[in-house]
Amino acid sequence: MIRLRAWQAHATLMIVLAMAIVYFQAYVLGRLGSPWLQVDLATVFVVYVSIEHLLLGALVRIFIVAALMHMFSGAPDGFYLMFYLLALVIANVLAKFFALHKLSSQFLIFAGIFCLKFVLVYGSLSKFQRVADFGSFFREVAPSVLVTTLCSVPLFAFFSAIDGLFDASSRRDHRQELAEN
Amino acid sequence: MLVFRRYGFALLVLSALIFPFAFYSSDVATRRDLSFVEKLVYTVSRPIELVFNLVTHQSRDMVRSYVDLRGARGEADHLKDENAKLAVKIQMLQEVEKENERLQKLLNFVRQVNLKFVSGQVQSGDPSFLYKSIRLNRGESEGVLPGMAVVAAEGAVGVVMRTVSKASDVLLLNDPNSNLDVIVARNRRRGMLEGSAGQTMLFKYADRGSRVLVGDEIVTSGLTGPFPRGIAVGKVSRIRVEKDGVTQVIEVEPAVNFAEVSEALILLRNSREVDVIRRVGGGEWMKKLVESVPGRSGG
Repeated sequence: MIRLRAWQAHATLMIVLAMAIVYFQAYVLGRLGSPWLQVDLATVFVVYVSIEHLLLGALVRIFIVAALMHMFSGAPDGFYLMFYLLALVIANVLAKFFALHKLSSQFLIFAGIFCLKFVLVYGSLSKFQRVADFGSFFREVAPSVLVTTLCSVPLFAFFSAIDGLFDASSRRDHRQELAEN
Repeated sequence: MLVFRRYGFALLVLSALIFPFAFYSSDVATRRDLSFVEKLVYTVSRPIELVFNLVTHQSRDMVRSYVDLRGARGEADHLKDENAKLAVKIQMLQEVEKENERLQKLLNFVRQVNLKFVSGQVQSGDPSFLYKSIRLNRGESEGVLPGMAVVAAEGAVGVVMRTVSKASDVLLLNDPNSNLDVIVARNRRRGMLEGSAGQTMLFKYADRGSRVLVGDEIVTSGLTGPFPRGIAVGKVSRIRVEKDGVTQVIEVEPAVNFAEVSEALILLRNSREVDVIRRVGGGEWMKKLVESVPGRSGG
């Protein structure tokens, strides 16, 4: 019987959760035709770990999600790593200005990062594609951005509840520890 | 460790700023050969993926069975009627087919029905929701190689971009990174079909003076790429002239509804150019070339 410490169990669970999220997104959500069902769970997870987990742990989880997403996607090489690294930096910067316990703040952070994803994709298109179909691109991504931003708030609470099962693992606890000392 | 704690975030900010410059300044495309890290990720995650695949397939089948049963009786009556009509149609078509065969013999037309293929089931879609690819449950062990064409009953689906032993990823024709050599079926004018960020595709580099009309059928040219000629790709859905008065944007509606593809055929023949290069330069030379210059996936 393997006995894991709290942080080891937390790290393992987070990796399993990251994999489950990517598989769910590829096998279930990726096969659904409607853009209103295209919830980008992986990005919500990445933003959550970027804000709430310690930097090193967050980086490891982000690399795993990026690698798995790359394995499933037709995106150009390095796209996910670039996007998630930028998301990590921007989420951390925004978290310094917004109070995270407020729903409106969470909503704004997520909305900002989802918009960043579409700006990055739009930037990777050829000039002809950009000229030709900004309208269709916008029509395609708008429902996904909206529905993911709406779902991000309860998902944030869900991930937070999972973190709450383990002690001294999240950045919030770490900050509290530092403040107490 | 202490250095990372102190400067970790600053380093991350720096790398996050440099990365986009490198990404956008290089002609980044999806590579065909898997790197060591990619192979590792595939191998490690494969057992979990298989379990997930099994569970989702079973759940989907259960839901479908329930939905199917709800309207089964009405559908059965409808199908009986349709069956009777189809039986008559088949007899008529058999006559037409015989006539067609006779004409083809006369014209020395080489039919391409002897192409080898494997059929595969679609396992998953693209989780990015922006780029467009699917994963099929057929891979290297069935003879599937990157660059092979994938077709469905309605027409061309895409090109195999990556393979592992039991799975292959297919870049769909409407993905922004996809390119295909096509012709307009009506007047045999040649052009390039490119994917887009939306659901439609864009017809580019049309021959000078070629008149393309809304409703024109676009088919594969068979001149370059892995597709044999004449496979349906789509129909011209919209033509508009840009503000400069010169650029013409021709949008093509795909023949295949990619969201509803559940099975597809992988044609076991390579791209024509690749075959020529292999014959002239040899396999090893070709391999080195592919490794040194990551090319764009597509036809």
